[in-house]
Amino acid sequence: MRKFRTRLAEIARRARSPLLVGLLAASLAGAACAAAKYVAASADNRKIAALREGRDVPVSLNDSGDVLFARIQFLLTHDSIDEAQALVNALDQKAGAPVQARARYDLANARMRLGFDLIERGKIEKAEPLVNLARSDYRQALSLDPGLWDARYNLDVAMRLIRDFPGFDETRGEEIPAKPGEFWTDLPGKPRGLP
Amino acid sequence: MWRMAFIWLCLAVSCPLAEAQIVSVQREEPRPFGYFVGDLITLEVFVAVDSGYLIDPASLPKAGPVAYWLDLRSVSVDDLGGNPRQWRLRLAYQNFYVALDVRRMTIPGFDLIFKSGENSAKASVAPWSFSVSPLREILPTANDPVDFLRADIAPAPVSLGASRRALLILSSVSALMLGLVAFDRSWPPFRRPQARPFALAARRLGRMRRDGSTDQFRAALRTMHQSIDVAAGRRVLAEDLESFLAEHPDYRAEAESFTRFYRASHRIFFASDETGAERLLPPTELVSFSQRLAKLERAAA
Repeated sequence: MRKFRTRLAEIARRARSPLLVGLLAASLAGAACAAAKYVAASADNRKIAALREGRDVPVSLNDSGDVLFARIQFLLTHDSIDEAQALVNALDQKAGAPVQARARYDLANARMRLGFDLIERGKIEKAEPLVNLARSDYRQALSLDPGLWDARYNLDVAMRLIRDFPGFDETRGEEIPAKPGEFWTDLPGKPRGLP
Repeated sequence: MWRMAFIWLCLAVSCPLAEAQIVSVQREEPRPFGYFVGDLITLEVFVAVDSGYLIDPASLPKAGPVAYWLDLRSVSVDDLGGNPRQWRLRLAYQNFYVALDVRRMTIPGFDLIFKSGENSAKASVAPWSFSVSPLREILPTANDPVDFLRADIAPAPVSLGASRRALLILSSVSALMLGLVAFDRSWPPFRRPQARPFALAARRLGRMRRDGSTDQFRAALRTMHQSIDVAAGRRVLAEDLESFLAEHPDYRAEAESFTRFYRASHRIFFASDETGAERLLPPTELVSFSQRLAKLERAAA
């Protein structure tokens, strides 16, 4: 037993030097990794801050989801909804659900504002498709993040706005009931009734 | 507890033969009131079936829109085993109905088919109704229609806290490790010639630019002698080698090299036979000998 213990101590003594070097290398690698992450995150934050202040910064699709979202918000407040829509679609491929939901929500808000503007100018037919798109975006935002209460609220606003429109008929998800056993519709010209 | 309330449902069965196969259909349901637009509703259905019957996956409700106001987000089936065999069906719905007043809505029921070879049995899950509450007053007032809307969500900066903490911790660990390694190898500022004579000798010999001169070889041998003397704490000559190794058993592995070193040293300093000495212990061998000793010294400390 004692011999075993001294042998163990001996092995530990011999292993100490290389072990220390290994640990140093590992912690240096970890520190380098953390530094790279920190630098990347600060660069992202600089871009986000610039976009928030209203300065356009070129953004590539490889950038993080938060940067893309900042650029989407910038585009929406600068009247380029179509470009923002393209970025929102790109965002769906990469970022996490909360950011995707927020981007959809802001996109829908921009469409709603445009819709309100059109309605005030009496162009209700032009507003309808915009409000419809906004509604489906709010719904998608809620699917992604059910905790986004602002999206619930604005979906309520959009839904009521559409109900006010006569002529708009909500049919999504409803099915035309098929009569059982009746395979063919009535043929025109077929004699009916008794002669 | 509403959640724990079990409701026994009537069994609607297609043919009398199948009646016996479905033992029970139970449902664990949440509260049936107080839902808003966007809320999630999870229903759990427990079906007990005679063993041998397996659920027909085609009869499961499909995830996706159920009605214009209702989405089925996910369906999962678990076989809980037992006799009769228990199946658990978990259905996660999301309500999108926008209510003006409190309104009763109904999630449609469906049939589950269980199959055993040619036989099949049908378990009917009844519709479930719940009430949806409005989120806003019926006639909100606002000067500008845009005020009806909740404002945009501004992009937030990425939090740097976690990566900053990781960087701080890892770099201080690195500094600590660097200190330990420097101490272990007696690098500056931990240079302790007394404590690590062989490390010092190895460093000195390593630094010597080999020019092949005998003066340099002599100097190298002298350095080595000094470090052995320091390690022993006294002067060590060839005849003291045995006692030195007995006192410092860590270096016993190099006993053969020690002997060769002392013979070479004897050749060069007492017989002035440089070539003989270099043949006995070539300078490269001397350098690697010093490095091996430094390594043993580190392990011994």
